[in-house]
Amino acid sequence: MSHAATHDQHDDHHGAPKSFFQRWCMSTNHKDIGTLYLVFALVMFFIGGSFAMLIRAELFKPGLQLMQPYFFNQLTTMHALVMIFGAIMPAFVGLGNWMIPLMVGAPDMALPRMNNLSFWILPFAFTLMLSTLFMAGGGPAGGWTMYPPLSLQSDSLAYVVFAVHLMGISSIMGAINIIATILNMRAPGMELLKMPVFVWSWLITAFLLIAVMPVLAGAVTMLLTDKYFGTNFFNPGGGGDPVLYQHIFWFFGHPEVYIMILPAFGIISEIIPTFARKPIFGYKAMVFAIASIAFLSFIVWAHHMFAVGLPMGAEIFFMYATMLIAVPTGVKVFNWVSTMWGGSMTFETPMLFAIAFVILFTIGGFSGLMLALVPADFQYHDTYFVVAHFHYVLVTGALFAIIAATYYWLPKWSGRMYSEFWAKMHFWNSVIWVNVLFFPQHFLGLAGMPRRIPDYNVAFANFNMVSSIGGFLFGASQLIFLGVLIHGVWFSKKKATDRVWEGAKGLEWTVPSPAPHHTFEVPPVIHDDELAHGHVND
Amino acid sequence: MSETAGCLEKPIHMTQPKMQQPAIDQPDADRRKGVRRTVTILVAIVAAFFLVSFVQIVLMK
Ligand code: HEM
Ligand SMILES: [Cu+2]
Repeated sequence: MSHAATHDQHDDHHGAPKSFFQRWCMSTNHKDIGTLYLVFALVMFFIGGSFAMLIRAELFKPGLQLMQPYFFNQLTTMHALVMIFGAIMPAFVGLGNWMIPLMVGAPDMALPRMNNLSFWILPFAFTLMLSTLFMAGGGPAGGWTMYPPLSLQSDSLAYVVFAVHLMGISSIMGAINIIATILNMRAPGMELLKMPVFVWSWLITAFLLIAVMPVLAGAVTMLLTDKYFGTNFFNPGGGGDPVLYQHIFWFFGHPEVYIMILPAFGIISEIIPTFARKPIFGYKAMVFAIASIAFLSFIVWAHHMFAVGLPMGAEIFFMYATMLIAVPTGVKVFNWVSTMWGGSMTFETPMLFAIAFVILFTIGGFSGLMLALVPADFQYHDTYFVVAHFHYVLVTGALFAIIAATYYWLPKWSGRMYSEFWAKMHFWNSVIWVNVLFFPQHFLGLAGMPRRIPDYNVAFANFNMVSSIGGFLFGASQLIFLGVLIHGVWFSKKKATDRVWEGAKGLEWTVPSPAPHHTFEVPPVIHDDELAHGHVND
Repeated sequence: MSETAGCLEKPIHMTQPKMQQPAIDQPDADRRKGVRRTVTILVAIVAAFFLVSFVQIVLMK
C-alpha cells in the first residue's frame, strides 16, 4: 500500500517531495487516505479481536476463571463498539476512498480536505473511548446498544458519548463526500446506470448514513442529559420511558446493520463476475434490490424489541416488514449464483471468500428470518442464537467481503501479487474455524443460553468449549492474513499486471499497478466495452 | 483510448504530463458547481435533522 511512496516525487505535481508527516497526516489524496482508513481498520480489527479472545477464554469452561463479571461486560461492549465503528465501517470507507474515484474516472474525491478531517477524527475518537478501560471506573459495560438505565450507571458514559459523536461526525462527512463525488465527479460517459455495483452500493449506503447517524447522536445526547443535566427522557420516575430509547436507538441501529452489509454486497458483485468471466446477472435488479433493502431497513427497527411488549399490531407489522427484506436479499443471492452458473470459473482467493460469503451470509439471513417470527423471538431473544445470527452476517458477511476486496485490489494498490498459497491457507483456516466458532452458538441459543454473561449452566459446557477452540484458531488464522499483507505490500517479488485478473473489467484496471499517486487528472475517454456494465441499456 | 490508458507502456512518471489541463475548463467549473449544490443540500438535511433533535431535546425536557 504505502509502496507508492517510491513514486511520490514523480507523480506529485504540487510541489516538493513530502515528509512522512506531510504525506500521511496532511494528505488530501484519496489513495493515501484510503490506505490510512484501511490500516486503521486493521489495527482496530486486531484490538477488537483480542477482546474477543479474552471473552472466549472466559467462556471456555463454566464458572469464573479469568476475570470479574464487570470486566467481562466491558469486554463485550468494547468488542462490539470497536468492531462496528472502528473496523467494519472504516474498512468500507477506506475501500470506497481508494476505489470510487478510480471506478468512475475521477481525479480524487470531491472534497479532499474534508476527507482528511473525516479520517483524522477517528484515531482521537477511539483513543478517547479505549482510554476508559484504564480509568478508575472502567469502560462502558452496558452493551454496545447502551440501553438505559443500565448504561447510565457507567462512569465512562460521557467519554463514550463524546466518542460516538466524533465517529458520527466523521461518518457524516465521509458520506457527504462520497455522494458529492459519485454525483458530480464521474468521467463523461460514466452514466449512473453504467457504474460498478460497488459504487452504487456506496451511494445508497451514504444516504443511509446521513439519515441515521444524527439519530444516534440524538439518542446518546439524551443519555448524557439524563445522567448529568437532570432530564428524564428515559426515566419513568420523571415521566420518561426507557422503551423510547430503544425505539430511537434501533431506528438508527437497523439501518446501521445494512450500512455494514450493502458495500459488502457491492464488493461481491464486483468479484464474482470477474472470476466467473461473465457480466453480473441482472445488473439493474441488483441495483434496485440494494435500494429496496435500504428503504425497507427504515421500517423494521422494532424487530429488535419484540420482547419488550409492543402492541400486537406493531409486532405483526414489524414481523411482516422484516420478512419482506428477504425478497430483495433473495434476488441478490440468486443473481450471484446465476452469474456463476455456466461461467468459466477460477478460484483465486478473492473468489473463494466471495463464494463463502454467498453461502454463509445466507445462513445468517435464514437465522434472521427465524428471529423475525414474533413467537419464536420471544424464546430466542437475548440468547446465543442472536449472537450466532449477527456473527454470520457480520463476520462471514461483512468481514469476509472486506477480506475478499483486500485480496482483489491489493495488487492494484501495491503493484505486487500476494502469495496465493498463503492466502488460500488463510481462507481455508478462516472458513473452517469460523464455523466451528459460530455454528454451535445456534444450538446454545436454542437451548436457552443467554448472551452477555461470563458464566453459564454446566449443560452448555461442551458447545462452549468447541466454540472457544474455534475462536482461538480463527483468531490465529488472521495472523496469516497479516503475514500475507505485509509480504504482498512490501516483499513479494511477483509484479502485478495492470489488469491483474484475466476477467477484470472497469476503469480501475486501466491504470498502472501500483496505481500512481494521481490518476484520471484528465477525464478518461470511456469505451462501453471496457466497463463491466457498459451495455446494460443496449 | 484515454490519455491515461493509452500510455500504459511508458514509465509511470510519464503517464501524467503536467500541462494537460485545458486553459478554460468548462466541465471542471460545472463539476465545482455540482459539488457545491450537492453539499449544500446534504448539509441542509443533516443540519435539519440535528436541529429537530436538539429542539426536541430542549422542549421535551
Ligand atoms: C434477512 C435479513 C435479516 C433479518 C430478517 C434479520 C433479523 C434480525 C432480528 C429479528 C434480530 C433481533 C433478534 C433479537 O434480538 O431477538 C436481529 C439482530 C441482529 N441482526 Fe439481523 N437480520 C437480518 C440481516 C442482518 C444483517 C445483514 C446484519 C448485519 C450485517 C444483521 C445484524 C444484526 C445484529 C448486529 C443484530 C443484533 C443486535 C443486538 O441486539 O446487539 N442482521 N436480526
Ligand atoms: Cu435489525
